[in-house]
Amino acid sequence: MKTDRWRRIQRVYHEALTRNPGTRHAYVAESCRDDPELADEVLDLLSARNDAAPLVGDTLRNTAQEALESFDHHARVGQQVGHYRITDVIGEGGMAVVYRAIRDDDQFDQQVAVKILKKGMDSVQIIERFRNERQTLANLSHPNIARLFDGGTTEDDMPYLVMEAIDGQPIDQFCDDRQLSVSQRLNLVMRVSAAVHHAHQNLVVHRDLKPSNILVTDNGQPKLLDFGIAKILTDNTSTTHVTQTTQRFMTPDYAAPEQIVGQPITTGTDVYALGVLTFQLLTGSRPFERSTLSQHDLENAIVENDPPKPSDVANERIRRTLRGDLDHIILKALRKEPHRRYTTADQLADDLQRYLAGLPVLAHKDTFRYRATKYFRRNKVVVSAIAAVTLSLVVGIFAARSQAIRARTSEANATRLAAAESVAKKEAQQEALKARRTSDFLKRVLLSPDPYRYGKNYRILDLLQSASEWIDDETADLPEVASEIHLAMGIVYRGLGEYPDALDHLDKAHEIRMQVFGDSSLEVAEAEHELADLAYRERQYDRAGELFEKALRVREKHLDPDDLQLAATRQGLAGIHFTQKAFGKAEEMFRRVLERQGMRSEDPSGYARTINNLATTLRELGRYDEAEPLYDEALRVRLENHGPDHYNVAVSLANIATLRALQKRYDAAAEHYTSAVAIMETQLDPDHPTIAIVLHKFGNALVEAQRFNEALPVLHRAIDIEGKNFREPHAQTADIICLLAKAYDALGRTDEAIKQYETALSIRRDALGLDHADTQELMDLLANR
Amino acid sequence: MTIQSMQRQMTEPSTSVESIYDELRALAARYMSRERTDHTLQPTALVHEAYLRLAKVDGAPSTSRAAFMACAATAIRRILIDHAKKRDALKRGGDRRRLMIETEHLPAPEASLDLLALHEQLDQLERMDRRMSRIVELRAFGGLTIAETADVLDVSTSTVERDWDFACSWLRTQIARGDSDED
Repeated sequence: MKTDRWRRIQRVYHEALTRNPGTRHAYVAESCRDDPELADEVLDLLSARNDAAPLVGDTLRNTAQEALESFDHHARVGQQVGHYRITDVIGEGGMAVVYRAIRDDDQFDQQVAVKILKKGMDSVQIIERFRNERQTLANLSHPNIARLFDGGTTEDDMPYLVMEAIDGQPIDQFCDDRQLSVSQRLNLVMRVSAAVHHAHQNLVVHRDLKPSNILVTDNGQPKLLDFGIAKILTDNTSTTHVTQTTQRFMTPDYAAPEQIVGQPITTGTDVYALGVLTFQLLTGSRPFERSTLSQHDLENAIVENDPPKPSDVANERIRRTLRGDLDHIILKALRKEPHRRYTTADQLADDLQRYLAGLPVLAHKDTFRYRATKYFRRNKVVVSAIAAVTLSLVVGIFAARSQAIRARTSEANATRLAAAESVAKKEAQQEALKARRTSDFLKRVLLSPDPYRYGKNYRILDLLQSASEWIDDETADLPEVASEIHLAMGIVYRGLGEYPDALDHLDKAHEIRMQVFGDSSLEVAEAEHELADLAYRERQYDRAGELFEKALRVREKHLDPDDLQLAATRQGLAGIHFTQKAFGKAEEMFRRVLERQGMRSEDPSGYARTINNLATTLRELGRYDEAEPLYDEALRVRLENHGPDHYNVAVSLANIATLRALQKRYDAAAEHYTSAVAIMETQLDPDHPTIAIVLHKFGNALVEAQRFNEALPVLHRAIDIEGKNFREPHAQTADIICLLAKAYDALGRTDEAIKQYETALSIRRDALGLDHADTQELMDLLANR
Repeated sequence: MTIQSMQRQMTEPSTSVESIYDELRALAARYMSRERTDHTLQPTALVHEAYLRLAKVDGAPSTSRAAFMACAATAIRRILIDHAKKRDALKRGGDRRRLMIETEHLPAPEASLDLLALHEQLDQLERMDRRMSRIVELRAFGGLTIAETADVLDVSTSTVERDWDFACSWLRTQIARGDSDED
């Protein structure tokens, strides 16, 4: 029954559509002035028309197809397949339907899963893949991989597999439903990794690892399913085809970059998926989420973007647990380049095991900072340092207070003996109590890790973290002790590279000392010096400079000119001046440091560093002749102290080489650069970015010396290293490429020169922008050729 | 689920709808069993082939082409609704912990259209505007083009276009309203 109202809504709707979109709203309001409700309805309809949802018709057609297929699936219920009778549909995948079935000969009451190829999917290639899965599973026998019992073809010639029926939940649901702890989740991942490793050892790559393919049974046993798109590594007969069909069925959520760009699949592909799985189980989200990205953007992100740190994504409660080792382990599994991930799934499992056991993890092995960190962590000296600082403090306070009490007691003896004695006794008892509590605190910090559980390599960082939580409560009435502990912990955290934690503690120490000792005290200066050091490491040079200067003023006023702490602050300030290119001020400060008596014998590496830095300052000021003997002296001291293969020796050699090049003594420069690089290659990762910097300077010297043929391999190597270190094009790389182009040009190899210039131009355009002078310069240069 | 039980659900069984229904089911099965990897089964193709087959069997179709199309669309609508109801029942009563779940490749149910809601709204539309609901049925379930729909209903193509446009917007608002009512 068409009502007038229904007709009117349609009339206004269609009329509005003939108008300019901008004026539709006004038109509807105007023509329905008498009936605002009707106007609203029309406006709703108009906005629904612009809805991004797919057309009703299109969606229906898809649903129709799905429904018709599903009729076929259900038609099999009750059918006999081999020895089994199908009882139910369990689920369906891209190419097959999985049914629940029971053995029909009454011999066993065994439930199985029967996977039957879908009708319409029985092309020659897909049947081959189905056979591939059967073959694959037949070769695998592992408690965490769903077992294959049988296989064959149905009466209507469809291939099928009979598999172990698994009563379980997808791994992500299992973890969440049971609210498993981080270590319980990691244990599951380790068992899955072991199953994947078993497959890898049998030359099978699963390629489609995701929670819905990993079910966990009631008794906590994970089971790997669906080797439908698995690849047998030695089999390269139908690789292209498999890749094509795979793409139709694969969701990109767990796909590795090489799967998206169609590069070769290796065991590393499964390691990546395990990385995504671990990320998801610990944080609740995947490194790249489909919900925030379109499929295209998601695929792009997987190939291009760095994944976030799991600890940055996780909720507050477990952030601290993830920070550090787990972040590193997961990110190592998620590297873009398959060869930079864990080589095997087993290694991932091992590293998780090491993490759970509190041992150093392999994921850090390739980063320099990590090595240093682990060194500190393992090094008991750090523990002793905290212990020593705090113990001496406790003893100090105790001694000082006791003396005061004794003094007061003796005074009192002279006058009101009895009364004073009881007061003094009380005070002494109180002091003793405080001291005992402080040492209890220390004991608790140092003894907190259970040596039976963690072994010898328990981690200082964990210990510090738990200690941090107690400090304030335990030392509420002893602010001096609290500030000392905060300072010590800040320094240790800084040494470990954990800057935010370091800042927390140093700030607290500074704040307490301002209240207790006052602004211009040596105690506050000490905290400011340490804060300045931290700011310097965090490249906040202005702040570092201000803090060093403030600490220096107090220390110069109160300390002996030869005092070590005073020299340290001067050293720090000199470094800031140098970094900020205030070379005159830097020179003065370095020279003041060197004024300290006995420095060369007491602290030879500090001494070598200081004269090296002074020499570089002079080199920057163009005073090469003054710099030369200082560099030589630094090298001499370093050779004496560290031997010929030390990294610092290489630094000295490189500095001398650069000075020689500036002095146009190119032979000597080349010789020193060569030695420096040779040492660095043994002491650092051969692709360490510092080596690229030295090679860049070396190449520059060779070009200046017009030794173009020699410059070519040096510069190519530098560019190669840069490429391995910077994922994004880097302006510095473009400088090296320009130098290479110049060398080619000078050799008359014009085509290669232009090619290099063009590469450099595109890098500068990306890194610096089109308007940058360096970019413009290259554009002009290329335009004039 | 048998054909008999599906037929029982039809409120007004008509012989032509039933025979078309059977024919469509049989056709669908044959389509599926063909060896083809690019199988995209479209209701349109089904409807056309069913029509040709029925015409051949009887020498001449017992009903007009227009009536046939209308019946075919209705039959497909019933097949789909029946499927959706079954699935819905499974979803509601179904155990979340199923044996093996490999359904990620299918269009996610929440992303696709809620068929049952559409079905109900179409019934409501039919009460207000019978022609418009037939247009939706023919276009959406029968897969007919604008021109075919106009031909079947004996109206102009511009009428079909206007009604189809309006009906899509209206169904969207109705279904969206249904969604928010649930909250």
